Amino acid sequence: MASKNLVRARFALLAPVLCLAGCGSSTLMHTLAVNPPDASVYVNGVRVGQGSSRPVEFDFSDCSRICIQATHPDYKPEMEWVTEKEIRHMMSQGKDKTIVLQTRQ
Amino acid sequence: MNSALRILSLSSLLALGACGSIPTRTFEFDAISVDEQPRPCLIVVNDKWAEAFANKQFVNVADDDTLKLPIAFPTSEVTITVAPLKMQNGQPNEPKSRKDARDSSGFMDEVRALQITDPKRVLFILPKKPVNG
Repeated sequence: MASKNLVRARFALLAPVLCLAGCGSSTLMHTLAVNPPDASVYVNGVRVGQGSSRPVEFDFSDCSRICIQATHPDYKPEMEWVTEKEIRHMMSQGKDKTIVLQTRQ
Repeated sequence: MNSALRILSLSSLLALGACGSIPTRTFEFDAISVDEQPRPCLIVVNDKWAEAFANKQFVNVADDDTLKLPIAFPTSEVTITVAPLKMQNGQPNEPKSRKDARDSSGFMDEVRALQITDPKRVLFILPKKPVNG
C-alpha cells in the first residue's frame, strides 16, 4: 500500500514537470537544399528564401512536426513533414534535408 | 529532450488547456499559386462546404490576407480542404465540391490532415489544373 502511494506521489510530482518541460524550446539548425536550385522554400508556411541550400531553423517548441514546402512556376509544388527525430537523425548522418520538385506533365 | 516526450508534453498541455471539452487550436490559413501569388480560396473543415461558405472562411478574397480559424479536434486529425474560388465581379462563386472548385477556378484543390500539434500557420500551394485534368 505504502509503495503504491509512493508511486502515485512520484507521478503527481513528475506530471507537471513533464508538462512544463514541453514549454522549453527545441530549435535545430540544419541545412535545407532544394532542386531546382531557384525554387522558393517555405518552412511552416513562412518563406525562408530562394536558392539551392541554406541553414534553416527547425523550431519544435510549438509543434510536433514541421512542414517544408517548395515551389517553382515550372514544377509541381512539393510538401514534406519532418519530425525532430528525423532532423536529429539527418544531423547525426551529416545529411542535408533535400526537397526535389518534379516537372509538370 | 526526447521528441516523443516533447510530443506527449505538448499534447498534454493542449488537452489541459481544453479544460475537459473538445480541444481547440487556432490556425492561420493562406493559399498561393506556384508562382507565389495569393489565390482566393475557401477553407473547408471536415467536408462542411455550405458551412464554410456561409461563415465566409475565405482567404485572399477581399485582399491579400489570411484566415485565422479555431479548429476543434474531436479526433486526432481534422480534414482541411482548400478549394480555389472563381471570382465574379469581386464576389466568390460558391463551390459545391472539390471537382466543382477545380473546374470553375482552373486551379487544383488540396486536402490535408491537420493535427492539433501542427504548426499554427498553414500554407497551401496550388498548381494550375492540367488541361486534361
